[in-house]
Amino acid sequence: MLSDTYEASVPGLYVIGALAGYPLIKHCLNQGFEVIEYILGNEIAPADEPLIQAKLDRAGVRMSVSELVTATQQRVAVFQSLTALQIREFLLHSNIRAPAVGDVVVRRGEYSNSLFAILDGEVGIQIDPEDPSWIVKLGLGEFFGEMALISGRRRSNTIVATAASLLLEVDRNVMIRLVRSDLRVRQAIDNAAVARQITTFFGAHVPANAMTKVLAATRVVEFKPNESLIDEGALGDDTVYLIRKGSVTVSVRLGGRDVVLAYLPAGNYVGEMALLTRRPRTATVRAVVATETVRIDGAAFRMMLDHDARLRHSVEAKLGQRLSELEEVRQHAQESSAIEFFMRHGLGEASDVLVIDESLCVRCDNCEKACAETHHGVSRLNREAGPTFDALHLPTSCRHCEDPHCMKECPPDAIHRAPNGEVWIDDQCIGCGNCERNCPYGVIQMAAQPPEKPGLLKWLLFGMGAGPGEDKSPEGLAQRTGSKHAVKCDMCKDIAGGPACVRACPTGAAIRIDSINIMETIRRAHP
Amino acid sequence: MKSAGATAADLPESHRRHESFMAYSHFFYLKIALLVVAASVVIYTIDRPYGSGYGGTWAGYTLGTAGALLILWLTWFGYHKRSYANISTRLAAQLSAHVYLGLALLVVATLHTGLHLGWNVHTLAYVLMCAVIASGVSGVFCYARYPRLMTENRAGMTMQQMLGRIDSLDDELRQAALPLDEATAMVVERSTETNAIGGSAWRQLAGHLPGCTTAAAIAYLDAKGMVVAPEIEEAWRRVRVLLEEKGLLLIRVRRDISYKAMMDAWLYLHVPIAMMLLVALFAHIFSVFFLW
Repeated sequence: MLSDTYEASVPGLYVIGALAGYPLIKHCLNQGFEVIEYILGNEIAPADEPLIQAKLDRAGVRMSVSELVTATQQRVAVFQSLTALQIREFLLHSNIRAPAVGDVVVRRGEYSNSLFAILDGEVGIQIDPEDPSWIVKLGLGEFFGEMALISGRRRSNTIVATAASLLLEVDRNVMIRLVRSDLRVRQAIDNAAVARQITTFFGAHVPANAMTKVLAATRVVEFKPNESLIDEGALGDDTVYLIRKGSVTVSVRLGGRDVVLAYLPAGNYVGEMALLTRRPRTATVRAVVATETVRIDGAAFRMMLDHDARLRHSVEAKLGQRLSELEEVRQHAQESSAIEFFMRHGLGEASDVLVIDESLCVRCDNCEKACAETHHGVSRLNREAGPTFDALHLPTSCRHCEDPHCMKECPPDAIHRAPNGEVWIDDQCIGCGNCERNCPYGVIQMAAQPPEKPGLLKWLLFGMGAGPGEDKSPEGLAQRTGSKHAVKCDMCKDIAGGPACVRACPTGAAIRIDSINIMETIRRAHP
Repeated sequence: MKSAGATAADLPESHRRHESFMAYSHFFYLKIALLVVAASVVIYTIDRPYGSGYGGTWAGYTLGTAGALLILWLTWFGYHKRSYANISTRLAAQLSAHVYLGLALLVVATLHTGLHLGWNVHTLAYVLMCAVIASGVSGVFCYARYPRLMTENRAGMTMQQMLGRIDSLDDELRQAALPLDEATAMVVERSTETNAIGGSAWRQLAGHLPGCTTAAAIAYLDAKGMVVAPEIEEAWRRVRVLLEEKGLLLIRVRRDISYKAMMDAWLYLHVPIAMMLLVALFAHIFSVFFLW
């Protein structure tokens, strides 16, 4: 454990850089300078001081950096175990927000970028989008935003400030790193998340004492890809799983082989069928990617149903709907293979993906050309490459994963997730190629900048330039300048009207789907 | 911060569904085109209930103006489909309108002529317009027919994968042919040296090539198949199977090229004739207003 001046528990021994947990060379340089000043007895401000102070000033908060560090450490229980140095490090990647009464802090449906801690004031979670007055309040020291942070999915509730507040908005990447490295932080967040997930999903009307019992019978269980949560035919197993991260498939054995009946992304629950019918498990539920679930004991779940007639009604209604859907799929073996195909190619962790109907695609490559023309001359999709099932084709193009593989080892933290879910790379990219190597779908490429092209009319009328689209000819490649940087689909997040590939498709073959409408797309392809 | 783009969930319903340009938005543009046709017929019939009207009447000027504007708008599609930053909705909607209004133009322009045709620049413009529309219709037919055939023919492979497989089959063939007699080995060797794919426009469209060395090797082996010495029989069979696989792959590749060529070929008529039409249209209007 290091002191605020990088001094180890052995007096006079100072630790900086990678050994102290700071991998970047700039850390090392700054810290080395600071340590020498400390040894000389000069109480200089750390290099990050003015940066953090600027954040405070920008938010209009009258507070010094050291006051902020102390407040974070003392008021937020989750961060108590961190040293001042660690807190400074993540403050550097955080925002300070000071919303007034009634200001919206996060909006339902947006993708998560951050976790919030309340340093002062109070916020309210709007439980029911139909009824904004139904609010659950959170006060000093509590945190929120962890549900979307864990699942990588959209925010499940809108949260407004119910008093003038001081909030710390911690960047998603920093938080994920912290959760992975510090067991205590992880446990604190996990416990709070489980309680909130159960409450928002099932327990809005369950009395508090019953809820305490339910939570006692609940825990987080993780599954590896392909591992089964539920086995078909199992007797006496009536556990219910709430999927909070990843996704699962539901399959049955028919004629000696597994037939996938459905795909369920995070935010769904499974296992209620055996619970309600008190029969053996009727299907196998298997994790598609690394999946985290909240496991609720059967008896506890039944207790919730007994306490809340509305919940029982909605669970039963969902069961009825599921049974009829499963019956429908059972009759279309084709659909089953299509689901398996999509899962195999990463749609189990995708939040938005380009799908081409090859029975409509005339191979004009206008999608690729549109991509290049709207993204500095380099196309971020390869229409022809990529797998095809029946007539559904998945071109090589970003799936905007819920827990993006590319983000994991980006030294300058240049990869971000926008509120609409777009995973994009900013101009901090140093061209190291980590993201390209980490992407399991091969959708990131390292490319230099092509030169500016003559306008469209000059090409149409006078044949100047190579014409629309990426110029991949040897002459074109030779004209590119600068060092190579990582480029990938940003879902045209800065272009009005949405993704250029979809807009530029002349025949209606290219569409974008999210995990919610995979099943719908498959059904349309196999009517 | 809300970004300008839209994700799948925020996109309009039509962006999340595969829908052919022909059926776009419940045939919205077909309905518009039928209205245009109906209006043209009404205008024509009111002016000349018994027919024989032409461009010189008020109905003729109306229909002619409408037709000329339609032609300009239809030609503008070629520019619009490439101005990627400015495609406001979906290009599929534009193509749907392009097809149906292009068909409607045939009625509008025919009524404009009143079937007063002759050997002049006016009729030339009309004939060129008919040719553009006819090539467009063949394009719609190709777009409906070939995409699915192409997918089926590919069987999940990309062109690069198919060509790569042919390359490795050639390597295997050269090895496998070593034990064969010299004449046969020569024939097999020749089949690995050139793989005839593509070629002239006509050959691309036709999809089969007369001088295919692989087909020749297969025919040679089959002709001599009954008199193979027992010691080379195994190598012989292996070469025959490899040739068969390669031959089938070559057929797939050529068929793929032919399908793609079919989908592209009509544009080589559609676009140049449309340009000629623009010139003829200008000459027609100029001569009517300034030289008549």
